[in-house]
Amino acid sequence: MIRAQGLELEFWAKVVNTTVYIKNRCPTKALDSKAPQETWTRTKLNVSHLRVFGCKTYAHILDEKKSKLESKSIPCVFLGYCEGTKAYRLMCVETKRIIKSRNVVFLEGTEEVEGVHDNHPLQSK
Amino acid sequence: MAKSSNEGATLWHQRLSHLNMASFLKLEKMVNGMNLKEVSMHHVCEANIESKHQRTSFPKDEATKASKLLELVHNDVCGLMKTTSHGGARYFVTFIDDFSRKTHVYLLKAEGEVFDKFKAYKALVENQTGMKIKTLQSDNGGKFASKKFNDFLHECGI
Repeated sequence: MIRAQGLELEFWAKVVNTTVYIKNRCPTKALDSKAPQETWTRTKLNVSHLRVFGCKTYAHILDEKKSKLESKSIPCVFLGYCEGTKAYRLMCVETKRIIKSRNVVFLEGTEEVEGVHDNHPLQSK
Repeated sequence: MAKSSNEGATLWHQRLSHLNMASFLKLEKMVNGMNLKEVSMHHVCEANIESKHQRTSFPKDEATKASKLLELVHNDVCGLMKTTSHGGARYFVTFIDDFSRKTHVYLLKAEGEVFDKFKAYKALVENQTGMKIKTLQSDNGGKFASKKFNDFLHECGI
């Protein structure tokens, strides 16, 4: 996943989390082609919210947090799912901070995200 | 030649530097000069037992499979990672429920956090499922074998 999206290796922890999240929702031979999450919760799975890891996204900014003429969204990178809520975990390209948002537009088909590699806060170490 | 056939087999076994029985029987048909009347299949050589004894192999067909949620939980720690993650994590620990194969993963900054994460995992899953963890299977690495951890498992009856 890191390689496919051209991300830095520092993202491995996000990858581990997301991989586990997805593997829990994939059929496995050990369960006769049932998914672990299905067996765990005994309910039918919904995977409509799954998105491509590392893709470019835009997160909506609430009206009260911006002025009238500012842009309504900020560019982010999709880095996983939240436990317990329906939100997505995103990293703001500009500030490199992790944000959680439910109002997200995904650009899944696009190539690697610009700005993630440049002046990365951990890269200089 | 030896008097009785069994003695002959023993002698030949020793002459052939304690050759195993399967090869011994093969060899006997291949060559001339090994005139054995009868080869006992139950021939016991003490020296062989002493020097060639091996560990009993683990049964392959009896793979244990839990029949209920949380009956058996596998866990393992992965690390040390070369790169530190954004949050400072360098290890991660996985807990896999054998019945549902549901995986939980926790990121760690140090190996010693395994104990705390296990407690968190235990509380979470027991609350979610209403079942208790019955067995914990690990690779007995140093982080699992600590006294604190063992005492805790003992208290919970795991």
